[in-house]
Amino acid sequence: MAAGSCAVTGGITALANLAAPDAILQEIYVCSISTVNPAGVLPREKFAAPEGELSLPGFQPRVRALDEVVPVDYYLPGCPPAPAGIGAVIRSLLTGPLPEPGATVGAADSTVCRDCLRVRREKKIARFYRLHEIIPDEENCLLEQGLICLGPVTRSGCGASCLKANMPCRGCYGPPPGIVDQGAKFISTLGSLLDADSPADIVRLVEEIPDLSGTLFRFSLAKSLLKGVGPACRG
Amino acid sequence: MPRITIDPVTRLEGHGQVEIFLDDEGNVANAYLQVPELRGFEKFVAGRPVEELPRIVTRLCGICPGAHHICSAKGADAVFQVQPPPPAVKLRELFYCAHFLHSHIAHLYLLAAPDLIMGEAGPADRNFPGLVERMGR
Repeated sequence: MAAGSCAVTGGITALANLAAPDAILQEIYVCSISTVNPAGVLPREKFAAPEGELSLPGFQPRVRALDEVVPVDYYLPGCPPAPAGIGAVIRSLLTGPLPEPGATVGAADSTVCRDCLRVRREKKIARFYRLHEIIPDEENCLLEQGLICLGPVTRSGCGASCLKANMPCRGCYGPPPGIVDQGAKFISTLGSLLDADSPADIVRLVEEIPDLSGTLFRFSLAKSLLKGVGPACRG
Repeated sequence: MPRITIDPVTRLEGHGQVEIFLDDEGNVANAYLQVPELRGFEKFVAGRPVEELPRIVTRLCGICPGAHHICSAKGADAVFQVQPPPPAVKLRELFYCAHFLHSHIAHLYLLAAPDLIMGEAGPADRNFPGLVERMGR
């Protein structure tokens, strides 16, 4: 079972696919402000200690989802999966009937928007806000208020818990059935929501969103179509 | 030189392995702690919006996410050069108390107790399900 979004879609840790492996090693072991390593020593897979050889696993070229490495029977998404979903999965494993192999468990087949009680109108987004730039009202759709909310492209299972705390959906349950690439689908959704009359308007609006790739693929980069940057992601 | 390998180290969240080398009398000659895990948070948090970091670095650890959250929130305060108002500080302290309870309960029951209570059992049983089996439900 792929339990949790790191296993299902790469999760937060797949944001490492936005950097090259060598750059990660250099930053952590050589360049970071709290590191003192004048000789630039990096971890090695084999180290001949005086008493005997020590070994470490090699650094992988990119973060992969679990089913890219071993066969997976069931997928339990969420970061973290909601307790009710975990409980339902454990009960079904104990008492049966078992779900079909390949099933997503502990979550629903609809989107977070289906569980969200906010009022939705026709969306026309005139500008985007970062979280600290706005106190959103608690009645209306956050996307309409200019916050990036991934509810339309995220599988439900959480009970829209972030929305109930007046925070936008961050997409942690990954894409719902039928959507391969969560971030690309959101880009496509945005296309119909922007209050823009010209291509220049669209560019101006989208440029207001800081860190588009890290925001739209925050939990799903490993299973996105592009998978990240670098040769290992394209291969 | 004879060695004892402890891999994985189950009393911490994340990964560790210990190699203990023994001398001719069977005493410890030297020991090495290795961390066979690297995810790259130090690198990939760069470029993310700073207000997102308290909810990104929580994924460093399932036992102590609250500590990372508060630390990162303080860092974001420093970046914006702001002082949170007293209610926010109290909310953070309340949250941290709740985290303290969660963290210690999770560490005790999931990580430490199987070793402390079932030290003689093999690795296949020396875990949380084994603990439930031993102690009853």
